[in-house]
Amino acid sequence: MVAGPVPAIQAISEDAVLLSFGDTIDPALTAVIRVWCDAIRTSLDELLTDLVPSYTTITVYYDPGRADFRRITHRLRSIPDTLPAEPEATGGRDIELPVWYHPSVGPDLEALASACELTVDQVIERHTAGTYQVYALGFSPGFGFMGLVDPAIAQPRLARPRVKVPAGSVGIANRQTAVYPSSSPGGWRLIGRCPTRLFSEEDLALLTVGDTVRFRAVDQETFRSLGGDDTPFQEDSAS
Amino acid sequence: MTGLRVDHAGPRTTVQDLGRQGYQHQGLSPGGAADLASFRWANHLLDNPANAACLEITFGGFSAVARQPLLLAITGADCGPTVNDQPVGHWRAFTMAPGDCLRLDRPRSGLLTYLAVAGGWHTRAFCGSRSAVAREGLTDLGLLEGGAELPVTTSDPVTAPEHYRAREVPAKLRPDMATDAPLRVMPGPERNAFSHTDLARFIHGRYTIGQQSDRMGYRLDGPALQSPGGITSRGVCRGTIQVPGDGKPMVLLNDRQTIGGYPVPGIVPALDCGRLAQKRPGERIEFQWADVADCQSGRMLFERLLATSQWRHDGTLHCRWTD
Repeated sequence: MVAGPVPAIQAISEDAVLLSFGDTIDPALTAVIRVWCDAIRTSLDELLTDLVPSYTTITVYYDPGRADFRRITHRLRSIPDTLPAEPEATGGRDIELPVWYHPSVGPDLEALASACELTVDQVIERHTAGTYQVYALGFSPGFGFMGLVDPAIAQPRLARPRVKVPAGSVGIANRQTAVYPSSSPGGWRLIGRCPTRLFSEEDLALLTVGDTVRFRAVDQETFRSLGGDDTPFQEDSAS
Repeated sequence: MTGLRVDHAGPRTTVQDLGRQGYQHQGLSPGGAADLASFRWANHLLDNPANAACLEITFGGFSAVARQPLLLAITGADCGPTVNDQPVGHWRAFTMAPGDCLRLDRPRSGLLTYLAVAGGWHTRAFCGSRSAVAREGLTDLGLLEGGAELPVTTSDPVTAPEHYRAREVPAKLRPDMATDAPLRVMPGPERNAFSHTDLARFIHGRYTIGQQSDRMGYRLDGPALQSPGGITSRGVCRGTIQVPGDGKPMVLLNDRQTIGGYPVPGIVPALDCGRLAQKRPGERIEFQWADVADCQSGRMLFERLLATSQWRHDGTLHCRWTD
């Protein structure tokens, strides 16, 4: 039996194969991709060097000194025969992230609210009402792309990315939301700040693809007591 | 124990090995030596493991003092290396006594020089790799600065250093820094989404390395391609050519982000990425189509060459296929 869609398999480089499960973002794909990731780890074992799941794809990296793409794709093509008939429930964890939603740490909060013809409180309500899946990690260590954001508060990236976004900043880009794990450049619209560490050298990334995340609004005092840095956001003059 | 004290690190020097494998799903960039061939030869000259950490020195301007007897090798862009002002040759192994000063000038061509030490530089390892990805800001995994003390694995004196000192990578096996032979490119997942005209422009056009090029990616100035639109973000491998909205292709290298959302007309294989990484802003490049099987055979030949060739006592390389 085959669990869910069978991906198109394409050798794209001398050390990478791309598995595509379709073109449209579908929350139901997350479970399928998880099951496939486990099966690929078992199937390729020591030949595998990296495995990057994303919204609708898995990029499989292997050691080109030890196997060629024919051997790898042959093994990947035999995976559907080994999959369970029903993929188990996503298997991801439920994670709650506290957020202090405030213009001093979320410089785009008020502008986003007015662009959406909502009040700031309504934006916070909509953002905290959602249950988000972690679709992919990338951009920087521990940066999880989460969705899907309520269309009522979905806004595109800034036309001009900021040179420096402080660690913990919570942003919206179209129907995606994320927390910046470290200070970096970034173009997402910032609506608040999260005190939880999303990446550390000891524990690595907090989030894993397939996890479910909810945001909880906290006040400044709680934010600080949770270890948050409430230094107001300052627009970099160089940006 | 400290083996080498860096006096001048030059414009950009980092520790690199084969890269951080197995953590891209956490968003950790793999990093790793940008010119794979030169890096591998540096280690091969010293019988090091393939993954031993080397210094990757960008555009020379480097000097350092030995703190103990050292056996080193140097490959990549030729910076006219000297020890105590005496030339030590290039693509060669050499030794330093405590207090000896190694100097690298600016390279005449190429950009990246690799400095290997017997056993590898024993700097901080994180997630199985010593490679620095500077923008990630990880502890002790950044750019080297003057004053840095680089530990080595062993303080044991090398036996028969004269055998190593005689070693030199044969000229015909060195990657050619000066060649303007086209870079190979394998068809990318979105190749067919680009128009025939644009693909012809891409493959027959000449591109200039843009000023904003670094280990993350090389931006190319030249024929712009009409982007067929963004794709759903997915894992991107070394050599991925992505075409953002302005139509100017960018080749992603070792310090790339792990996922990307721009359409991909083609992917450059690792050995050709190494040639690209040796090019400076303003230099010109061309592409030619290749298929995955060809690029893979090229890579396998390179791996077999390193795996099966051995150094003779007189410093020449014994290799069954090329002799």
